[in-house]
Amino acid sequence: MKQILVISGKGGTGKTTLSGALADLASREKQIVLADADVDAANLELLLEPEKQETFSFNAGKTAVIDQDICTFCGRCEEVCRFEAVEQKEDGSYIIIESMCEGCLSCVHQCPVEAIDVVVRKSGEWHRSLTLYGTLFHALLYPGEENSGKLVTQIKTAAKKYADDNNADILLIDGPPGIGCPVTAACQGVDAAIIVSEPTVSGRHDLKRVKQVTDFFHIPSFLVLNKSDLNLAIRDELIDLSKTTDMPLLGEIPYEERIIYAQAQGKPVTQTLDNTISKYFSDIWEKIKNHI
Amino acid sequence: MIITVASGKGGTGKTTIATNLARTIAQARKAEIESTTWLIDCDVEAPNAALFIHPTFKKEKKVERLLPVIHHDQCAGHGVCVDVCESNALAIAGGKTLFFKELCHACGSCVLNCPEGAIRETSEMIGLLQQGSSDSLRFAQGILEIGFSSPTPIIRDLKKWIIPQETQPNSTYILDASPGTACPVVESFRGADFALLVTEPTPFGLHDLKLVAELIFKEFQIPSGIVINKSGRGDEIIEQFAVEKDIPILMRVPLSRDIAEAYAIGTLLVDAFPQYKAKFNGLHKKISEILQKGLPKQ
Amino acid sequence: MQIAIPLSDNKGLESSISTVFARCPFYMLIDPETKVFTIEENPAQNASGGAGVKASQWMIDKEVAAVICGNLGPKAHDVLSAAKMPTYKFQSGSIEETLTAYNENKLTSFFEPNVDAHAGIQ
Repeated sequence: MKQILVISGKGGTGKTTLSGALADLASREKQIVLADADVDAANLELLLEPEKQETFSFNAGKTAVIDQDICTFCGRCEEVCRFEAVEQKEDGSYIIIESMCEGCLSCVHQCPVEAIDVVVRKSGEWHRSLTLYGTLFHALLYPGEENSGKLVTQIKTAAKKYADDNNADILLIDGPPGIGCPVTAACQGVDAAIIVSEPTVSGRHDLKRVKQVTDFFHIPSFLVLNKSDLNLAIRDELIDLSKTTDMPLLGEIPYEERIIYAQAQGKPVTQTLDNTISKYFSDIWEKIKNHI
Repeated sequence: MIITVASGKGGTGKTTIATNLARTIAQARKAEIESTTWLIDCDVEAPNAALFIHPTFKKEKKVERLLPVIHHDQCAGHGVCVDVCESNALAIAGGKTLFFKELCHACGSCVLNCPEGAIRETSEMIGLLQQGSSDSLRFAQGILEIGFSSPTPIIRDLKKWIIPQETQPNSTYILDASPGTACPVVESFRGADFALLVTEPTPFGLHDLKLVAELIFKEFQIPSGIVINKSGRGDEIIEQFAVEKDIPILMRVPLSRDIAEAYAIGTLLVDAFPQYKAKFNGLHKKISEILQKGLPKQ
Repeated sequence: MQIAIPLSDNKGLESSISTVFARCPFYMLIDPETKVFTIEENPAQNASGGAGVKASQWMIDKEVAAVICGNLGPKAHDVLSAAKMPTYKFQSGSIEETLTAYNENKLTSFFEPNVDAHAGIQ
């Protein structure tokens, strides 16, 4: 079973478009399991029409709550909190702002009267769903919550177990944007990373950043250039970069408004586009098969 | 006034709108005495605004956190530090206390709890802040060091560095937030007067617009407005949502290859297509009006 | 004397050995000679981070005599080697087969025998 992660560094380069297309193409020949690791803004489900089978709570971590009946207003909690999560109100009492609380529990240990309780936080939920292309694991992190890296890990662990138990050939993971914790979590244990970039100054800048992350984890990386004819000079630069940094080019997709409109149909674009455009995606899939 | 520009979804045009709005306001107010316009790039994992603004940087500031250092000669192996560490960054094995820096969240709990006082602290750099200017626009950004997980402390420090506790009436701060709706975005909204939500007329854009609108509603209750980028076919789904939630649509930028090509090479819309100056001035005016007296009628 | 073995399910001696060390759902603590065992929930499986560290510390605190596992992440490796915990690589097969291989000294160690354990950041 191979794990393939699709990431981009910069948001909006076409990561989910590609993931949806690969889910469609790969599932025609192989048994695949899917995971949407972009838990802050999970969009893959908008292309795959999932039917939820099971839902799980995501309990991110702990948070501290001051018991106002026991609190003596000494302010020790505010002194020790490194995350500015403790606020003193006008009446002199102290409260912990849940959205700032990191759950380190330092205040709990330091409170001289043991007035602070530890509470588990429900920060989101995740689902195992059926789709036409394979089972999909996807999540929703409630707005304003943190710990998305942990939720990514939970989904991936569940998806991997399901893929192993069901002898799937491929676990395809639609990754999060950026280079932070969720991306790091998504990278763990994958066999290959497909980086989707675009020939723009922002795309180039973020491609370099995200390649540093995959290099750090020694993950073989591959490049897909989306909107590739938007700027030929930058395109050529990125193709050179792919050669000099051991990041084989899987394919290029031109700037095509038809692709944007096709997405709005709520299906992988390879289902609705005509052959002249969907062949760009099939070519990429063929190359992936050769490498893996 | 503090305006935070966010979108939920990455790639909808947050940075495009934030940079062009900031440049336009700065130019319009050039002649005003004592007026400053700042663009603050809060997307510290992947800061891109500088690629369009080309600022000259004048000042830098390190963002540091305090990391524990174990003084083994004083360590008696009680293991209290291991017990209190919620990040599992400490272990006691073979009579030695081990510390795993990359797991540490710098909460200081181990330092406070060691009965021998054997843990002290040292400073480590987790990010860098930079400020400068481009013509009449002042600019600041933060960059998260690779390998560190949380961008939120960088954003917090960046805002503290630039925005005073009491903002002057002639100062405008435009914050370009990161994608998503998690902690870093919440931090970018804290203290803002207005939420400018950039979306695209697709199911993806709408899906994420809903998440960020919910966040504003749940946590901040500040006025907001929508900009539809890549507008054209499909606007109806955004318009419907806007009516439902009573959020005004303040501007539309059409889907256009020409605009995409200018963006590709880092040219501001208002420089490539001068007619956009009036549009962004109009956007600024509408935001000011909303802040002064409540939502205008569409 | 007890050996720790990560499990992916809880079916007594018929349980499947997990190739995942720090985030498996259960651990078996078993005497390789008498085959007397207990199965406990892995306290580290839901950790935000440092699951390998937590799981290793748990085993050390339980004073297990050895660990048999499939894979070992770098931090777990550091903690167990600092503790000089005999840690062996699980190949395949049932718990019975694995214990037989252990008893016959047929399992390979994760740690080089002559290299000093230099673990974590001190």
